[in-house]
Amino acid sequence: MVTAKAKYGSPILIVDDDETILEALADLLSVRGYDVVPANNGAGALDYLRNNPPPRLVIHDLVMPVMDGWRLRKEMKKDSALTHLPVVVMSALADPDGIDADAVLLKPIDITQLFDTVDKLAGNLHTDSSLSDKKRY
Amino acid sequence: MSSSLDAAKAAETSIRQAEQEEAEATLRGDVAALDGLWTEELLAYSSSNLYAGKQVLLGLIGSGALRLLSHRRITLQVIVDGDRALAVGNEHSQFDGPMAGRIMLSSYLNVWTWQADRWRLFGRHVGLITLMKADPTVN
Repeated sequence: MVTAKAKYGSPILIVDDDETILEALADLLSVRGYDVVPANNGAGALDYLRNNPPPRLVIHDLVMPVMDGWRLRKEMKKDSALTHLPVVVMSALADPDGIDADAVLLKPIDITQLFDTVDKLAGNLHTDSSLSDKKRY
Repeated sequence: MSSSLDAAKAAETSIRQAEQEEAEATLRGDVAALDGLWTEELLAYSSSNLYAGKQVLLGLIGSGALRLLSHRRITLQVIVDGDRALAVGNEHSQFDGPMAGRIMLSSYLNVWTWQADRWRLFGRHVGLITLMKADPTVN
Protein backbone atom coordinates (compact mmCIF):
# COMPACT_ATOMS: atom_id res chain seq x y z
CA MET A 1 0.00 0.00 0.00
CA VAL A 2 1.18 3.47 -0.73
CA THR A 3 1.70 5.89 2.10
CA ALA A 4 4.30 8.43 1.00
CA LYS A 5 3.34 11.81 -0.32
CA ALA A 6 5.39 14.38 -2.14
CA LYS A 7 7.11 16.75 0.22
CA TYR A 8 6.97 19.79 -2.05
CA GLY A 9 3.86 19.68 -4.23
CA SER A 10 3.45 17.09 -6.90
CA PRO A 11 6.56 15.05 -7.61
CA ILE A 12 8.07 13.48 -10.68
CA LEU A 13 7.66 9.71 -10.77
CA ILE A 14 10.77 7.96 -12.13
CA VAL A 15 10.51 4.30 -13.07
CA ASP A 16 13.56 2.15 -13.83
CA ASP A 17 14.72 -1.25 -12.64
CA ASP A 18 18.38 -0.21 -12.79
CA GLU A 19 19.20 1.15 -9.35
CA THR A 20 22.17 3.23 -10.49
CA ILE A 21 20.14 5.00 -13.18
CA LEU A 22 17.25 5.53 -10.79
CA GLU A 23 19.52 7.03 -8.13
CA ALA A 24 21.41 9.20 -10.60
CA LEU A 25 18.23 10.59 -12.18
CA ALA A 26 16.65 11.16 -8.78
CA ASP A 27 19.74 13.05 -7.60
CA LEU A 28 19.94 15.19 -10.72
CA LEU A 29 16.27 16.12 -10.72
CA SER A 30 16.35 16.76 -6.98
CA VAL A 31 19.22 19.22 -7.30
CA ARG A 32 17.31 20.77 -10.19
CA GLY A 33 14.54 21.51 -7.68
CA TYR A 34 12.05 18.72 -8.26
CA ASP A 35 10.65 16.33 -5.72
CA VAL A 36 11.11 12.79 -6.96
CA VAL A 37 9.39 9.47 -6.27
CA PRO A 38 11.26 6.40 -7.53
CA ALA A 39 9.73 3.09 -8.61
CA ASN A 40 11.49 -0.08 -9.72
CA ASN A 41 9.00 -1.28 -12.32
CA GLY A 42 5.64 -0.61 -13.95
CA ALA A 43 3.64 -2.38 -11.26
CA GLY A 44 5.16 -0.25 -8.51
CA ALA A 45 4.55 2.86 -10.57
CA LEU A 46 0.93 1.93 -11.18
CA ASP A 47 0.44 1.27 -7.49
CA TYR A 48 1.77 4.74 -6.71
CA LEU A 49 -0.32 6.39 -9.44
CA ARG A 50 -3.54 4.77 -8.29
CA ASN A 51 -3.08 5.62 -4.63
CA ASN A 52 -1.62 9.11 -4.64
CA PRO A 53 -2.30 12.55 -6.10
CA PRO A 54 -1.07 12.69 -9.69
CA PRO A 55 2.61 13.44 -10.23
CA ARG A 56 3.57 16.35 -12.46
CA LEU A 57 5.44 13.98 -14.80
CA VAL A 58 6.16 10.29 -15.27
CA ILE A 59 9.57 9.24 -16.61
CA HIS A 60 9.86 5.54 -17.30
CA ASP A 61 12.08 2.92 -18.83
CA LEU A 62 10.71 0.34 -21.27
CA VAL A 63 12.47 -2.92 -20.49
CA MET A 64 11.71 -3.77 -16.87
CA PRO A 65 10.75 -6.90 -14.94
CA VAL A 66 7.29 -7.52 -13.41
CA MET A 67 5.61 -4.90 -15.61
CA ASP A 68 7.42 -3.30 -18.54
CA GLY A 69 7.04 0.23 -19.84
CA TRP A 70 4.74 -0.69 -22.74
CA ARG A 71 2.29 -2.33 -20.35
CA LEU A 72 2.52 0.55 -17.89
CA ARG A 73 1.66 2.98 -20.66
CA LYS A 74 -1.31 0.83 -21.73
CA GLU A 75 -2.62 0.67 -18.17
CA MET A 76 -2.24 4.43 -17.79
CA LYS A 77 -4.14 5.08 -21.00
CA LYS A 78 -7.02 2.84 -19.84
CA ASP A 79 -7.41 4.85 -16.64
CA SER A 80 -9.14 8.21 -17.11
CA ALA A 81 -7.36 9.60 -14.06
CA LEU A 82 -3.95 8.79 -15.51
CA THR A 83 -4.25 9.09 -19.26
CA HIS A 84 -3.60 12.85 -19.33
CA LEU A 85 -0.34 12.72 -17.36
CA PRO A 86 2.73 13.83 -19.29
CA VAL A 87 5.10 10.93 -19.94
CA VAL A 88 8.75 10.75 -20.91
CA VAL A 89 10.10 7.40 -22.06
CA MET A 90 13.75 6.46 -21.60
CA SER A 91 15.10 3.76 -23.81
CA ALA A 92 18.23 2.33 -25.35
CA LEU A 93 16.11 1.10 -28.26
CA ALA A 94 16.77 3.14 -31.37
CA ASP A 95 13.08 3.20 -32.21
CA PRO A 96 10.83 2.57 -29.21
CA ASP A 97 7.88 1.32 -31.25
CA GLY A 98 4.34 1.56 -30.02
CA ILE A 99 4.98 4.07 -27.30
CA ASP A 100 2.79 7.12 -27.13
CA ALA A 101 4.81 9.57 -25.07
CA ASP A 102 5.33 13.30 -24.86
CA ALA A 103 9.06 12.83 -25.27
CA VAL A 104 11.61 10.06 -25.70
CA LEU A 105 15.08 10.22 -24.19
CA LEU A 106 17.50 7.79 -25.76
CA LYS A 107 20.02 6.17 -23.42
CA PRO A 108 22.66 7.25 -22.69
CA ILE A 109 20.86 10.40 -21.69
CA ASP A 110 22.26 13.86 -22.34
CA ILE A 111 21.80 15.76 -19.06
CA THR A 112 21.09 18.98 -20.95
CA GLN A 113 18.33 17.26 -22.88
CA LEU A 114 16.98 15.71 -19.68
CA PHE A 115 16.73 19.10 -17.97
CA ASP A 116 15.24 20.78 -21.04
CA THR A 117 12.63 18.05 -21.48
CA VAL A 118 11.66 17.91 -17.83
CA ASP A 119 11.53 21.69 -17.44
CA LYS A 120 9.33 21.92 -20.50
CA LEU A 121 6.89 19.20 -19.43
CA ALA A 122 6.96 19.61 -15.67
CA GLY A 123 7.92 23.23 -15.16
CA ASN A 124 10.81 24.00 -12.84
CA LEU A 125 8.67 25.35 -10.01
CA HIS A 126 10.55 24.10 -6.98
CA THR A 127 13.37 25.92 -5.33
CA ASP A 128 14.00 23.39 -2.63
CA SER A 129 14.01 19.64 -2.49
CA SER A 130 15.19 16.76 -0.38
CA LEU A 131 16.73 13.42 -1.11
CA SER A 132 15.33 12.07 2.12
CA ASP A 133 11.93 10.60 2.82
CA LYS A 134 11.89 8.76 -0.48
CA LYS A 135 9.91 5.59 -0.71
CA ARG A 136 10.56 3.02 -3.39
CA TYR A 137 7.52 1.59 -5.19
CA MET B 1 66.07 6.30 -27.79
CA SER B 2 66.85 7.41 -24.31
CA SER B 3 65.61 10.96 -24.96
CA SER B 4 62.27 9.69 -26.28
CA LEU B 5 61.92 7.55 -23.19
CA ASP B 6 62.71 10.56 -21.06
CA ALA B 7 60.10 12.60 -22.92
CA ALA B 8 57.49 9.90 -22.40
CA LYS B 9 58.36 9.73 -18.71
CA ALA B 10 58.11 13.51 -18.41
CA ALA B 11 54.72 13.48 -20.16
CA GLU B 12 53.47 10.79 -17.80
CA THR B 13 54.60 12.82 -14.82
CA SER B 14 52.78 15.87 -16.21
CA ILE B 15 49.62 13.85 -16.71
CA ARG B 16 49.76 12.50 -13.18
CA GLN B 17 50.14 16.06 -11.88
CA ALA B 18 47.23 17.25 -14.01
CA GLU B 19 45.17 14.34 -12.71
CA GLN B 20 45.71 15.44 -9.12
CA GLU B 21 45.25 19.11 -9.96
CA GLU B 22 41.91 18.34 -11.58
CA ALA B 23 40.78 16.19 -8.65
CA GLU B 24 41.70 18.92 -6.17
CA ALA B 25 39.93 21.60 -8.22
CA THR B 26 36.84 19.37 -8.33
CA LEU B 27 36.94 18.98 -4.55
CA ARG B 28 37.26 22.75 -4.07
CA GLY B 29 34.47 23.38 -6.57
CA ASP B 30 36.95 25.67 -8.31
CA VAL B 31 35.12 26.48 -11.53
CA ALA B 32 37.88 28.79 -12.82
CA ALA B 33 40.56 26.14 -12.39
CA LEU B 34 38.37 23.47 -13.99
CA ASP B 35 37.57 25.78 -16.87
CA GLY B 36 41.29 25.89 -17.63
CA LEU B 37 41.87 22.20 -17.10
CA TRP B 38 39.00 21.09 -19.34
CA THR B 39 38.77 21.49 -23.10
CA GLU B 40 35.67 23.24 -24.40
CA GLU B 41 34.65 19.93 -25.98
CA LEU B 42 34.90 17.89 -22.77
CA LEU B 43 32.41 15.06 -22.66
CA ALA B 44 31.90 13.17 -19.39
CA TYR B 45 30.02 9.89 -19.44
CA SER B 46 28.96 7.76 -16.51
CA SER B 47 27.89 4.14 -16.27
CA SER B 48 24.58 5.50 -14.97
CA ASN B 49 23.83 6.07 -18.67
CA LEU B 50 24.15 9.82 -18.37
CA TYR B 51 26.52 12.20 -20.09
CA ALA B 52 27.20 15.90 -20.06
CA GLY B 53 29.43 18.54 -21.56
CA LYS B 54 31.64 21.14 -19.96
CA GLN B 55 29.12 23.94 -19.43
CA VAL B 56 26.51 21.69 -17.77
CA LEU B 57 29.13 20.29 -15.43
CA LEU B 58 30.55 23.70 -14.57
CA GLY B 59 26.98 24.88 -13.95
CA LEU B 60 26.28 22.02 -11.55
CA ILE B 61 29.55 22.64 -9.70
CA GLY B 62 29.29 26.43 -9.73
CA SER B 63 25.73 26.42 -8.40
CA GLY B 64 26.72 24.12 -5.55
CA ALA B 65 24.41 21.36 -6.80
CA LEU B 66 27.44 19.11 -7.19
CA ARG B 67 29.62 19.54 -4.13
CA LEU B 68 32.14 17.22 -2.55
CA LEU B 69 33.22 16.84 1.04
CA SER B 70 36.14 14.62 0.14
CA HIS B 71 37.54 13.34 -3.13
CA ARG B 72 40.49 10.97 -3.44
CA ARG B 73 41.81 9.97 -6.84
CA ILE B 74 44.36 7.24 -7.37
CA THR B 75 45.82 7.19 -10.86
CA LEU B 76 46.84 3.63 -11.63
CA GLN B 77 48.13 3.83 -15.17
CA VAL B 78 48.96 6.47 -17.74
CA ILE B 79 49.55 5.90 -21.43
CA VAL B 80 50.88 8.75 -23.58
CA ASP B 81 50.78 8.82 -27.37
CA GLY B 82 51.95 12.13 -28.78
CA ASP B 83 49.49 14.83 -27.77
CA ARG B 84 46.91 12.42 -26.38
CA ALA B 85 47.02 10.44 -23.15
CA LEU B 86 44.83 8.02 -21.25
CA ALA B 87 44.73 7.70 -17.49
CA VAL B 88 42.86 5.06 -15.54
CA GLY B 89 42.32 4.79 -11.83
CA ASN B 90 39.76 4.89 -9.09
CA GLU B 91 38.08 7.52 -6.97
CA HIS B 92 36.49 7.71 -3.55
CA SER B 93 34.12 10.66 -3.26
CA GLN B 94 31.91 11.85 -0.44
CA PHE B 95 29.21 14.31 -1.46
CA ASP B 96 28.12 17.45 0.30
CA GLY B 97 25.27 19.85 -0.46
CA PRO B 98 22.05 18.44 -1.90
CA MET B 99 23.57 14.96 -2.12
CA ALA B 100 25.22 15.08 1.30
CA GLY B 101 25.73 11.71 2.91
CA ARG B 102 26.44 9.80 -0.26
CA ILE B 103 29.73 8.06 -0.84
CA MET B 104 30.71 6.92 -4.30
CA LEU B 105 33.41 4.48 -5.24
CA SER B 106 34.15 4.53 -8.93
CA SER B 107 36.67 3.67 -11.58
CA TYR B 108 37.48 6.12 -14.32
CA LEU B 109 39.14 6.60 -17.67
CA ASN B 110 40.33 10.13 -18.40
CA VAL B 111 41.35 11.26 -21.88
CA TRP B 112 43.85 14.11 -21.89
CA THR B 113 44.93 16.21 -24.83
CA TRP B 114 47.81 18.66 -25.18
CA GLN B 115 46.20 21.95 -26.07
CA ALA B 116 47.45 25.54 -25.75
CA ASP B 117 50.61 24.55 -23.89
CA ARG B 118 49.07 22.32 -21.27
CA TRP B 119 47.34 19.00 -20.76
CA ARG B 120 43.56 19.40 -20.70
CA LEU B 121 40.83 16.90 -20.01
CA PHE B 122 38.99 16.01 -23.19
CA GLY B 123 36.93 12.97 -22.21
CA ARG B 124 35.99 11.11 -19.07
CA HIS B 125 34.22 7.88 -18.30
CA VAL B 126 33.15 7.13 -14.76
CA GLY B 127 32.22 3.56 -13.90
CA LEU B 128 30.17 3.39 -10.76
CA ILE B 129 31.36 0.64 -8.42
CA THR B 130 29.32 1.45 -5.33
CA LEU B 131 27.05 4.24 -4.19
CA MET B 132 26.25 4.16 -0.51
CA LYS B 133 25.08 6.37 2.28
CA ALA B 134 27.67 7.58 4.77
CA ASP B 135 27.27 6.33 8.31
CA PRO B 136 26.91 9.51 10.38
CA THR B 137 28.39 7.73 13.39
CA VAL B 138 31.68 7.02 11.62
CA ASN B 139 34.23 9.74 10.91
